[in-house]
Amino acid sequence: MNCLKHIFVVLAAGLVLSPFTSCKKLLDQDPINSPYGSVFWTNQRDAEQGIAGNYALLRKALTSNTAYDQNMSHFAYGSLPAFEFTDYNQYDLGFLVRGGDGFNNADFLGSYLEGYHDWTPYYKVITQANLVLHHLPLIPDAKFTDQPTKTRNRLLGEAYFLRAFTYFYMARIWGDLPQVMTYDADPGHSTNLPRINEKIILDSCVKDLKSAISLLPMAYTNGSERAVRANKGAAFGLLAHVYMWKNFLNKGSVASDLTNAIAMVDSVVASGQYQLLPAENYPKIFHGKSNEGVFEINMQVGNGEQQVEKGFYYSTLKEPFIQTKTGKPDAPNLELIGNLYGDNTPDVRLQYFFSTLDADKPYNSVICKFAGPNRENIYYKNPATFTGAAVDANIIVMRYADLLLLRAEAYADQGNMGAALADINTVRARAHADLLTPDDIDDIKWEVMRERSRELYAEGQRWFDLVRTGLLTNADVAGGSFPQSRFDAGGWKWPVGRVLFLNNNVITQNPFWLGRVK
Amino acid sequence: MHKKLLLLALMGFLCLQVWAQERKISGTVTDDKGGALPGVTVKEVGTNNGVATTPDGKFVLTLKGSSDKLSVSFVGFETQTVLLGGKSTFHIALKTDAKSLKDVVVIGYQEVRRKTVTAAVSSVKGKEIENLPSPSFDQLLQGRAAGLNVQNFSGEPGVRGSFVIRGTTAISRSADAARTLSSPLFVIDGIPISMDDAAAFDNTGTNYIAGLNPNDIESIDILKDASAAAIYGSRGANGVVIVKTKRGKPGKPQVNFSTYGGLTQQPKFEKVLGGAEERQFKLAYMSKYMDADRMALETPMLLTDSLNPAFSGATDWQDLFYRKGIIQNYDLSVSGANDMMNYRISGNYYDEDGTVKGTGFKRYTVSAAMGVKMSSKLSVDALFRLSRGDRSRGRGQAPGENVIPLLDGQYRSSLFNLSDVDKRNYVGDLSSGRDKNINDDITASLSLNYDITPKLRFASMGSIQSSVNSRDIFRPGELNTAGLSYAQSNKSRYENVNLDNTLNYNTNIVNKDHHLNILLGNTINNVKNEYTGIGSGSLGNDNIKVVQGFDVNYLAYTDAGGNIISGSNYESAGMLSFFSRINYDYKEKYLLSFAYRADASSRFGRNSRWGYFPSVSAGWNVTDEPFMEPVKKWMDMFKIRGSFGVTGSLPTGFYLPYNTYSINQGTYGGSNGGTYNGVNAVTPNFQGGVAQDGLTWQQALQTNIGFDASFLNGRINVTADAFNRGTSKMLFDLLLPSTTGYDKVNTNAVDVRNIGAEFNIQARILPPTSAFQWNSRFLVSFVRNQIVKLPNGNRDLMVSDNNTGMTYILTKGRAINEFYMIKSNGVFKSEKDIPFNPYTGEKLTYWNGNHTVQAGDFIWQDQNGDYDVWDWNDKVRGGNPNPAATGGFSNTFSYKGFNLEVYVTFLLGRDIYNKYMSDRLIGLTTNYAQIAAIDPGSIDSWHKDGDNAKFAEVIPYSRNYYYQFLPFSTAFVENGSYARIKYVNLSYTFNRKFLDHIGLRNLQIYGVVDNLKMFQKASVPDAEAVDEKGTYTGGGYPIPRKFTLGVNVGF
Repeated sequence: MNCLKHIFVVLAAGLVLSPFTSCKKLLDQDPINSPYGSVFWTNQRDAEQGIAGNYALLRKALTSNTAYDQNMSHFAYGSLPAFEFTDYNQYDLGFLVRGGDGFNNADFLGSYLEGYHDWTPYYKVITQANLVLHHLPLIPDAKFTDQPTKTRNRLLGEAYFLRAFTYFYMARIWGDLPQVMTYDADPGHSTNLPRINEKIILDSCVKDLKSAISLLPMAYTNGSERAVRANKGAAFGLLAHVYMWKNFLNKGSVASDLTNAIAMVDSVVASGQYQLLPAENYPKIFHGKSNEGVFEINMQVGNGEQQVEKGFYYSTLKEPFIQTKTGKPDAPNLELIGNLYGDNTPDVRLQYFFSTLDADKPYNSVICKFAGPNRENIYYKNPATFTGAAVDANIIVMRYADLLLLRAEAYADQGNMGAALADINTVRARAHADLLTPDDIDDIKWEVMRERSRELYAEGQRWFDLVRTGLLTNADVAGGSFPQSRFDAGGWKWPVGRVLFLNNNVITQNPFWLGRVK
Repeated sequence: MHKKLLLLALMGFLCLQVWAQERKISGTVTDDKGGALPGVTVKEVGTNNGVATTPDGKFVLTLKGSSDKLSVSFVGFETQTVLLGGKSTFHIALKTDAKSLKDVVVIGYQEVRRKTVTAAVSSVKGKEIENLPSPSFDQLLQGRAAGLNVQNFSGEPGVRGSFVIRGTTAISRSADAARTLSSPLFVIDGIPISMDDAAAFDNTGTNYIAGLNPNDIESIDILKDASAAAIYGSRGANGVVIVKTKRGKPGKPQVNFSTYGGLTQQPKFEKVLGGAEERQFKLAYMSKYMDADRMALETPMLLTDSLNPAFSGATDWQDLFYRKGIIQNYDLSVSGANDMMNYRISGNYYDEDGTVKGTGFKRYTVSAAMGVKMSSKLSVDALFRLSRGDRSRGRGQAPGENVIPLLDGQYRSSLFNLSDVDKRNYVGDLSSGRDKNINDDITASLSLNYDITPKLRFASMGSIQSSVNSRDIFRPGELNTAGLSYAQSNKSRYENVNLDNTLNYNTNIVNKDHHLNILLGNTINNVKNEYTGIGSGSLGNDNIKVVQGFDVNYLAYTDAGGNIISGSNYESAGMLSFFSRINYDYKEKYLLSFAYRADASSRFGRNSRWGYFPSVSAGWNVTDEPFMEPVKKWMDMFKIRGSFGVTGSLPTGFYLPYNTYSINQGTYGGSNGGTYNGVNAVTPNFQGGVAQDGLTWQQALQTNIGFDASFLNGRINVTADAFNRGTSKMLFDLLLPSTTGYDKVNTNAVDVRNIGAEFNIQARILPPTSAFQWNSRFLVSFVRNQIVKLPNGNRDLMVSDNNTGMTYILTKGRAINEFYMIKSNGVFKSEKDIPFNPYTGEKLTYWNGNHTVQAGDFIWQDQNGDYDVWDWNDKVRGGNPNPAATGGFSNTFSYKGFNLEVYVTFLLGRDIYNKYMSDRLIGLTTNYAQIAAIDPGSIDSWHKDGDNAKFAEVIPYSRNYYYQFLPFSTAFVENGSYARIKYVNLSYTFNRKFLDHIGLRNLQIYGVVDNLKMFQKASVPDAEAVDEKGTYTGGGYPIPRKFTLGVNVGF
């Protein structure tokens, strides 16, 4: 009994006294299940992961979804309304190809497309870039494991690049935008921002890209980062695109837009980092990280980052490219393809890009450039059952051929047909196509557009090319009809999502869509 | 001990030799009923000379002093002083201590006499809920305490219902939040438990408090107003439920055995046609509405292809799923107490089969409670409880998934031919699969009481509660077309460590008339949730039922709700509190009480973590006034009470002030790789919301006024309370502008008010002298719930529930979660009733002009006058799912040993949405072949011109379907009021004479019918089986009727 009593007393005393010693521990409990503001951004690893997060957010934005799945917003914006298809047999995305209520194509108001009216995913990319730009300079040199200044500059340059890219991408879709260029320490109290003019947005893209160019290295030290991380070349290339878009917005009134664009592509060429791969290596270009890639979104199987049975590449393929997949929703625009490449052409792109083209069976006609004509880029998680299929290919945002043809477009706009033809022929030579002479040309601007269409078919560029050149309304070149009146009224821009107005009362709708969006 | 006594005796002997004459006395000590009391201390006053009574209550004492007085004392009894006189034998009958005679109320860290309570407290005695067939005590409290609303909306054993005190305050932007209604703080044997915390890491979905055996409960006190709950400060805003478990009672050791067993009734089957009969009926019905061409083209294969073995079944889905269940319960307890110690050890086994095959709940508990008095100043109390809950979930696999595979809320067509594997998979007893859900709870507490002086007591209680939830799933490859098997194993642990230290000072100031009681205390609490789990598919061997040799490609990272499956987690939150309460009374007539609590929680930022919760209350026992003498003949007691105070509630998130970052953010549409180009992608948690450093406690300001009255010698007791509780600074997700990158910010932004009144009337209808007794109790509570403030300038907010498709509206000045719908005023009888636009001459349209209204369509009200009904502008408030009144009515009749209780619970004034019917109409219109063969003719729908029908025209595969039956019109809103005869309980207690004869202390046999009869207006099968927001889906688990027979034996 006595013994028991002592045990009780000691136990009880222990209970009473022990927790008093740990009061601070009790109330200052930091999470260990996630990093948080004050412990993140403290060393090089955090910085690397933060910038990886930034690219990942961009990848998420470019593969965002509608109600009917498939995760392919980049192509939905850039290719579906661009007459590269005659049908996309899916309830929502079909509106972009074959139109709907009152539109013959590019019906941006089609049912269940609201997700694509919403720019929210892109502002997450911008917020992350602003975070990187704010926090990286605060990480002391000692916390970098190699070459503090160089590493920091490279990462900062990438953040500038990503911010510029995202604004540029949005400006091409919606035009004017709210602009956030600084880190917000208290987003909970941030105010609503109005949209500001798209030209000002582009000016700040130019500024960011100039910063990126000064910070980024030209050469990749790590081959596995080629093209999927921004370098100086990517910044030059993007800046060229930005200048060309400025030229479009300025209606060609500012001569320096074109000279600047040409200068940027010149810098890319002069770097010696890029080349056109031989035609037989087309599948390697689309697989990604090739010497032709200038900027790509990594989706490679090697990193486990492929889209499994999802995405634009996968959904537009069928047997025999993907075993057991019996159908696909898209019907490529066979008339346009015929028109672009011609019959009995030596142009090997026809074979490398397309398979079983058959005007009677448009849904059986396959764009195989991403898969590779011999299924070079097809991967199955379970090869035995052909399940878990993926196309092992990156989103090629910019490539060397694209930039050469962009320079050709600038030359053409300047009226410099010779220089334009030289660039066109560089690209054609690689494809074993007949070289063009001035005699072949009716309108050099048309021919640049046609060459871009040939080289970049279904790469998510054509819509913006058609808008930028104004050829969207030229049915002969575009391959479909888009009313001039809609174009002139700014109807090439997408409507601003209703959801964005819910808690922002200072933004306005794009004028063309006023009264159309319910 | 013996040595000491011997020494004492020896010394006494020596002394006696010198000073006094020796005198020997003897006697027996009994209780007031004549039962012998062992272990009673019999002491000579003014000396240390004393003995304890023998097991038969006898004592012999040799007197040494000169006081001529004996003091007889025993726990639980009033101490008696006996004058010795000249007598040498004594018979002493001890009176039970009135204070321990249970007219006390537990108000948190203290017990006070009911007479001096100034707070609003509802009490339920353990006796009331004993031996009723239910897995957990919360369900049994339905209708038993004024101010408490319990809705057991699922009949699935072991699943939590709703439990709300004085109306809900929970308000949320998303309807899929874990719990829709606010829940109180439970304090079980002094250990505070937040159900939200306990449920946060729960794998098994089992009701957390189902681990406590209802038969172990001594009393339940429900603290409702601020004065009572303020002592629990930051966690008291939604009320506090204090549960005390049974302890050993003084007297001989008692052994109690009780058991009951019975049946749960199979739900009533709905009449459907099966097999060939179904096919003929459906085809015949369809041919009435479809011409031959359409029949040929559009009739589903299921109906036409009778030769296909897959479509030639005659599956009786209801028979496949429903069954009779067996329910059984065994309780054994041993208890006893003497002056030095008390103990109670109990064991319990409860097993209830669900009425859906493959479901059920089993509980095993062992608990031991012991109190030891170390010295006159020091006592120690220890409690230890182990319990295991074992819940079978059938095929309820994913969150929100029905245990029955329904289509459009209906059973499937009998024509589907099920394989044996399918059948077994559906009903959850596939022998090679498993879904084990085990909850193991351990509770241990130790408390120490030290009387520093007779007036000042120090008490310290430390407790630890540790619950391990584990779920182990295995689905064999034979169920998967690719042969992929799936195994998952999750363990989570909830740990609640609590330490209370209190100082209690009791004194009379000035004189005996002024009583003062001061309580000071401090609490340290830490709650920890840990999780470890893995789940993966494998193409391996079906004999491996654990996660081993899995294929990393099939690793399941999260479930459908975004919760981790493969991984581990850890969250911990601490709270430091100081509290005090001062009770003062003058002659127990004028009562005054102050309570104050300060809490600091690690869940808030460093600058806003302290919350302060004061309260004040007063009472006046009017009947103690001299001027009340004339009415004292019929009025025994009348007390007026009032209180005002502040309480708070803790947020459910553990790390609110932290702007957390998320790793593995490389995932995107179609890909679950967490990296970008091989580097882990880290971003802020954009979806979870940005942190606000200044977040602070939600606060509830509550005023309460009430009275307690007792008439005619306690034959009629009335308690009434009225309250007004304004909850402010409620945490709410504000949507942020998209340009911030963040989706939302969680901030203190919403105010809600609950106003209500509660009445509890108890009457002993027949005089106490009557052999036949009739006791009646009626209680009812009224609550009105109102949103006072919403963010963004009180703009209305719409909340959608993705599971049900319902939309709710939050509006300032209105109740939480009202239905937001198009108003439907019946059905257009004929074409001429349809309005047309006077400007265009076009008929009314629905759905943006897509559907031109015709006879037989619902009459939807065009609120904005644009001659089209569909858009947001046509929606109005369509019903309020919050009940206006809830309560219970109980009548107990007793005669000699017989006792009959008829117990009714009711709920009034709430709207429910009959999604069961709207789903059925969708099924009949779009999916007629696949759903069970219900006769569409049995539904009150429009058929021909002039029909005055309740529902719009229903035609299988109609081309006229325009979503008219989706859950957004008031055509399916019904009156959800009900009254249910919840229990009828008949018992017989054998009389003492007979028991003495057979050597038993107690013997009782009883029978209970649970859920005997339902009275309701609504056309749904069970108006209680609606979800927390008032939607009846039919996919829920039916609330079964139970019949049990039992016996109680006491030795």
